Amino acid sequence: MMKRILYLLIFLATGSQAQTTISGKVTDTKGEALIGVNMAIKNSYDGATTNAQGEYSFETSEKDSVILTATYIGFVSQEKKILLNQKNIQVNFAIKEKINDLKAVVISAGAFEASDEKKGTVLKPLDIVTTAGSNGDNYGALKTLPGAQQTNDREGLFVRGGTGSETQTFIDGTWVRNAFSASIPDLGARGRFNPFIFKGTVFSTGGYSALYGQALSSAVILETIDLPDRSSANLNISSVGIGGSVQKLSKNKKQSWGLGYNHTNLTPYFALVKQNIDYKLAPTVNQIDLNYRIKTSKSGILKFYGYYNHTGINIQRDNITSIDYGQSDKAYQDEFGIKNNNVYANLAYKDYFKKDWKLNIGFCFSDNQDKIETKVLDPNDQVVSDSNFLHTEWLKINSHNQIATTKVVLEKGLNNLNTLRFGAEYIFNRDQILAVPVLLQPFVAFKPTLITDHYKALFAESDIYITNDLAGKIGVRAEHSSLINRVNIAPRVSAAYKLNRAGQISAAYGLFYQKPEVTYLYRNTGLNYMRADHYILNYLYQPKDRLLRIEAFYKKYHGLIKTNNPYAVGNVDNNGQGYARGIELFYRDKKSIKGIDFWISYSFLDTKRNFLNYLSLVQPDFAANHTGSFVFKKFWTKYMFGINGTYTYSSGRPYINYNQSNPNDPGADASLFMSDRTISFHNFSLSANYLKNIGKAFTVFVLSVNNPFGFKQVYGYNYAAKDLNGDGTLYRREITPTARQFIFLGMFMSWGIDRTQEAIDNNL
Amino acid sequence: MKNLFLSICLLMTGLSSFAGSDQYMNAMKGIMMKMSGATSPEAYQVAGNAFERVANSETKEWQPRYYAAFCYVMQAMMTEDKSKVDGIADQADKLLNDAAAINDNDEIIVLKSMCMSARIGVDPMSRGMKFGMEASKLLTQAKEKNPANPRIYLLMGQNKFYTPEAFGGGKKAAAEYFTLAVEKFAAFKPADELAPTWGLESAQKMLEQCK
Repeated sequence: MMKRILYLLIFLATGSQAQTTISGKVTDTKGEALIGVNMAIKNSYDGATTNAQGEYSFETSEKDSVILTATYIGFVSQEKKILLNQKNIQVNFAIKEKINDLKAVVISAGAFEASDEKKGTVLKPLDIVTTAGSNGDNYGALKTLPGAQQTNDREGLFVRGGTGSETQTFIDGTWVRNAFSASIPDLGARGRFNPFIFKGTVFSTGGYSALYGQALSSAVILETIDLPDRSSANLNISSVGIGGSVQKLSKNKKQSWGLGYNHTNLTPYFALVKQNIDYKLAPTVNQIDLNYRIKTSKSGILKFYGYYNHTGINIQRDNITSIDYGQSDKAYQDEFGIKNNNVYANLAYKDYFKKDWKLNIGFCFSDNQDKIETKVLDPNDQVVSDSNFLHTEWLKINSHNQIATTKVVLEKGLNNLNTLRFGAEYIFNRDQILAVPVLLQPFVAFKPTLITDHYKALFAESDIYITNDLAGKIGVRAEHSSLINRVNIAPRVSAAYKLNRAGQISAAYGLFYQKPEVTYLYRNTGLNYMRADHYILNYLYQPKDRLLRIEAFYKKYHGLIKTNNPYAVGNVDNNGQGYARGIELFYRDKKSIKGIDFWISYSFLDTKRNFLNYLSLVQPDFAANHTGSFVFKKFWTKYMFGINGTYTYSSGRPYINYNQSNPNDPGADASLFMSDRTISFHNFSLSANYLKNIGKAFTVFVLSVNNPFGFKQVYGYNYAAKDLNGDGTLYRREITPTARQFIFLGMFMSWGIDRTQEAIDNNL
Repeated sequence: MKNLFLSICLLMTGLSSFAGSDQYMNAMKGIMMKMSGATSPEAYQVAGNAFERVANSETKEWQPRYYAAFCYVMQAMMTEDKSKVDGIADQADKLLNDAAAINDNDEIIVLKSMCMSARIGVDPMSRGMKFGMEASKLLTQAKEKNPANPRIYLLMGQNKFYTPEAFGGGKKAAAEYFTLAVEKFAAFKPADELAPTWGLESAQKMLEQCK
């Protein structure tokens, strides 16, 4: 009897739980089935996962009214109250994708980015240093990207028909005045900054954010690394110098400091490998680096980076004008010597506060002094006393610039990734130049020319995400320079739309202002800003391990500097103008050829300018119509050995043929001006790396050869200033590198940091 | 009779409360069965979702969170579409943090290390060094807590296995860890019925591969 009751009770307890089947389909808001959605009844174990058709079905013994939830990664969870009053219940869900930075479209117009942290980047920071031919120069790697010209004979990065001075560099938000090392005319210059101190690089070839100004063509935006992962020591020995550094991380991992010294000296290399010019002092550089980083709170960090650099170079090369004599006793030499002192200090602070606010503050100071001496020497190494060579050619120039800048950016995160950014920037610029013709020094008191400028800017921009597929950015920048004493307003707009999983289009428009270069401001402080209007259309297709990017642009220049008469002081105005348009292609592939990572870039550029001493609207001498690069990287993990190669091509550049159309000659035929072209440019760079642990030191051996096939490279021509033999033509000489090849051999050792994994992973 | 009825009622309440924890155990064991049969990322997601449903009802248990995270880590490792990995790993990390808030133990740290390794797959080139280091740091941390946990040595061995010989890795170095793992598995006694026991088979397989 008792047993029976017990059974009955147990039966009732279980049997009374009538089952309800809940089923349905889950899609996104576009109706696409979602697989793997977690369907659950709140406060019960009952539920199911949607299948490949987005369908689910499960039984529950719950009763009455329950809450059914649909949860899926990357989507907003949805709840539905349902009444379990039938045997079968059908409940469908259409859930909404969260706007998140992993999925949201990124505005790609105009920018190439190298970063580990962000998605949709074209390069990784490591690519900057492993690109053959870059020789550890940030800008070298950027030159393999579309938009950049192969102007290796000049200082700066020439982008899309812009000059080198129209590309500006920013570190942790603040402007860098002297981004390139001291250089000799016609021999180009290297970037000053060690690529290893940066974790992110944005190379904008146009249409960049309102946070940045004073760059007509292009912005290189660099972000320094935060605290290192551990303490380390480094030593490098190479065919061009030696160096070492230590980096110490505190025990609590809240702060770190580092100290480094590098000595570069090309004397031994030039003694072995003959150069086509005579180095009295081969490039010699001494640099001391300092860094300090501290976590000021859970999210805050303060970073200091600074260096002192001294560079000296002194060369002698044939004086072209004297060659026009055609007499060996009158074959003179030009001597050019430069001593450069450069100090740079950057303090950057960032932190988040009140949840949605982010603050960035940057301070930067730099001081740059060039002491230049130029002479013309006769075959006995005496300063020439030839009436055809003005005494003014023995010149001592002392050029000194100082800047102090501060920039504050406040960022407010609104809902759904929408962000508002605004802030202010102030730059103090002081430039001083004194050029003394040495022979006149006893008779004339030369005074330095000094100009100072207080530059202020206000800016605001907003990221607007309408959906994960559609986003825009609207910004505006207002600038005032005390020297120019005018305000400019520069609007910037861009937008991106995701076409499908891997493809997107974006567009950008903006106005960009820049002060004229200081050389022209010395001659006329009444100049106005130069202006460029950018229009960019971009298509990006990015399936896994591949990337295709096509970009078309149009640029219009206003108010470029015109130097109508080179001999009239002050005759400089803003009457120059020009345009640039083109199409660029970039393709990177890590997949098609197993184990090989390569990229191809091609730029078509159509640009004309009438600026400086140009006689008409012509293609300028730094612009080539066609530029292309092919970069590949291959690493054999088994042997810890890798090879990187870069081939670059550029069609011939225009040059001023002084015998055809001399801009200094009032009767010159403007229709022939800049109508000649140099031969096209080819270069190939190859580098081999071998990784080995020597004792406790992770060691990398590098051998790189630039132009192993010895392609002849001509960047342009220098002409004699005067026709000294009276034959009616000016003697000319090619502008070439100082040797066909350049070979580098180096050994880099580091203790504490094991880059093995990095090297291996680089090639997975 | 009244007494009898009362005692039955008492028995029933006792039974039902017992049934409550029984339901939990049964549900967990049922999903664990499903999990052990999983061979695809989809199957791991199904099991992970089920564990997560249990976790949402059982706010004081760390194991449903642990197993849900385990399934998601497996899913993250196996999934072809690497763009999904970070989202899945984020979810796993969140569950592991919740689990650690309930019961902070070495198994959770081991799984965190595994989750970190899964993230490397998204972009080995740039993540390898940083994440690899953090993953091995977590293993050291787990070892400090409980050196008897065999799964620590299994994962350490796997890290060695994929590092070239020239840099202290290779099959020989890895084999030492796998051997150690197998030994530790033999001595390992799970704390309760639901405690993690996975890994012996992998350790043996890996050891086989080292020969």
